[in-house]
Amino acid sequence: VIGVLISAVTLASIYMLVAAGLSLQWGGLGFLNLAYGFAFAASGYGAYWAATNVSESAWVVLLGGIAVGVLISVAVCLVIVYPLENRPNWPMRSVVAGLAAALIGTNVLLGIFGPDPKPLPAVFGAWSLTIAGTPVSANTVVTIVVAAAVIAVLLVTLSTTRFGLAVRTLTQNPEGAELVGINRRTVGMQIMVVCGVLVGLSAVLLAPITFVSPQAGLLPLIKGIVVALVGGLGSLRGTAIAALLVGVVEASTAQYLGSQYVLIVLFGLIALFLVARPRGVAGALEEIRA
Amino acid sequence: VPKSAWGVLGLVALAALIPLSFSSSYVLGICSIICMYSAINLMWALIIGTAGLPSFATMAVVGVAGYAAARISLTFSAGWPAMLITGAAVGAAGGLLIALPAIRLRGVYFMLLTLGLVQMCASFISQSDVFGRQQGLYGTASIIPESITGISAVRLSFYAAAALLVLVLLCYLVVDGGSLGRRLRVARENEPFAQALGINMVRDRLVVFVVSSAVMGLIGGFYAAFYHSISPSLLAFDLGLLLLAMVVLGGMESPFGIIGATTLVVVVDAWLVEIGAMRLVLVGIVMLGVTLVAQGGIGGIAGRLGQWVSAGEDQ
Repeated sequence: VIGVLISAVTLASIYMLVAAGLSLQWGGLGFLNLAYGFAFAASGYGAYWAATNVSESAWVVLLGGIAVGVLISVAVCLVIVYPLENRPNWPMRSVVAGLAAALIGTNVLLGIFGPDPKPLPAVFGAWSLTIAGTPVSANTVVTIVVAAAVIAVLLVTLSTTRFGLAVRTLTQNPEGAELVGINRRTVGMQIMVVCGVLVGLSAVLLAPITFVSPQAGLLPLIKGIVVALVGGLGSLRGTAIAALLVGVVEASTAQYLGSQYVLIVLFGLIALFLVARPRGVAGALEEIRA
Repeated sequence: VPKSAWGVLGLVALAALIPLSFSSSYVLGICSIICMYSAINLMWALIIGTAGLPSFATMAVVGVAGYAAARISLTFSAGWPAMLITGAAVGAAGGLLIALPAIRLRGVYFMLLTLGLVQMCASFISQSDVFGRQQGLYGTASIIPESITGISAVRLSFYAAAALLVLVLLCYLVVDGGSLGRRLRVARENEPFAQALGINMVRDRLVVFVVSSAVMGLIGGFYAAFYHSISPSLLAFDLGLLLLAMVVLGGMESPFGIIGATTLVVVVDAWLVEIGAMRLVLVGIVMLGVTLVAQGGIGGIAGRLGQWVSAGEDQ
């Protein structure tokens, strides 16, 4: 049971980081970034490159992953968000453009690095902790601690700084934001940079488990979407709760039913949940408050 | 005579001529793929174009129906008609199962749910013994009688695929051009207005979703019978993306634009096969370009040219 719990929390941490990025982009920009999975895969390669060509120190590898994540996010913002915003049929077109970017990016990675998965060295060391008789690897400990710290920082930033205020205004009322002098482009770019950091970080944290490959971003993207959906797009607190929920469901399904049922059970639950609460956990939170 | 009737006649003539002009089984194989992909794309266009429902569930429906048809054929040694019927029935049931909860959701949630659904089906099928895991299912019934072999078998398969495309195209034209298509477009452009007209949006969307899913299921069953096999690659994320690129390039609302774009992408894909992954980069760049610059795709450009020509005639 402890093993399942730890695995649930680890999964929840990674999904939380990915989903927080998706949710932030949706809330602030109204942009559903389906190129996020590609950014994830590319960050993995950035970290891999840094580990093989520069140094295997954890800081260097993290920096490599984050730098590529930010680079891709900024590129997506310049190529897709800026040219398309305020144009007709934005929701559908931005999604299709994101998918096109994913198609381009994934195949560029495939062309450069080939289809074989690359292992990332154990950058966080080979030590382990023992909790209630269950060994917990260094990577797991670092993942949980880092994810919790990042989400905490993000929540505080959103609720106390001017940047957070701007993001929240954009989420609630884009026209109002413009009236009070919030530059959507500037804040949008800042959001994309933050999301680039998040995706780079999660790619490096997940790489020791899943390896680095051109398709590595697909499953995190799908799970991130699921978490963001259940959480209610645009709400960070909802996302955090949903990530824990999804992590627990996934870990216990894999343990007691078998891994081929994970996505089915997850989807059954989500379909039921969304039909009952069409705006996710955040919608439920709002109802409680009201 | 409506303009689209000429298009259908032209397509039939083209399909009849192709096997007479090419005798390579490779070329005919590619032409058959174009027919099957075009058929799928037309039904997809009915959902995302005409009805404006952002659904990505297409390949899940085609794939699951194809697998069901292959399983029926292997377990009960049923022939291809049974495979087509199974495919259509599973497609309709699947469509209803997806649409009933999903139509209640608003745009972006609908989109994400259907996107995830494809991954869910792909991951289940590739891990399930009943569906042959990564290898898929082999040795199902064929659409070609065993007495026909060699190039005549390839010709006959192509004619079957072309006949499928023509039937699906007629289905598209009937739904899109009829009153159902008109009601769906009104609801897509302006929901309150549609409501004021007394259009039952939920019912209409449900109908178009189930009908097109049934046809997609039929295509899935045909696909399995065409290749005598089916594999998880039919549900791969990349194939779905490629088909979406065709629909987007074709202009979502123009049936002949979509068939043209499908032909273009499949031919480019086969022609540049030596340059490997980079050919998909090319497709992606064109897809991105069309999305950024023009909304109508090939069909839209052709339509504008047509308007320009007829404007010239008026003067």
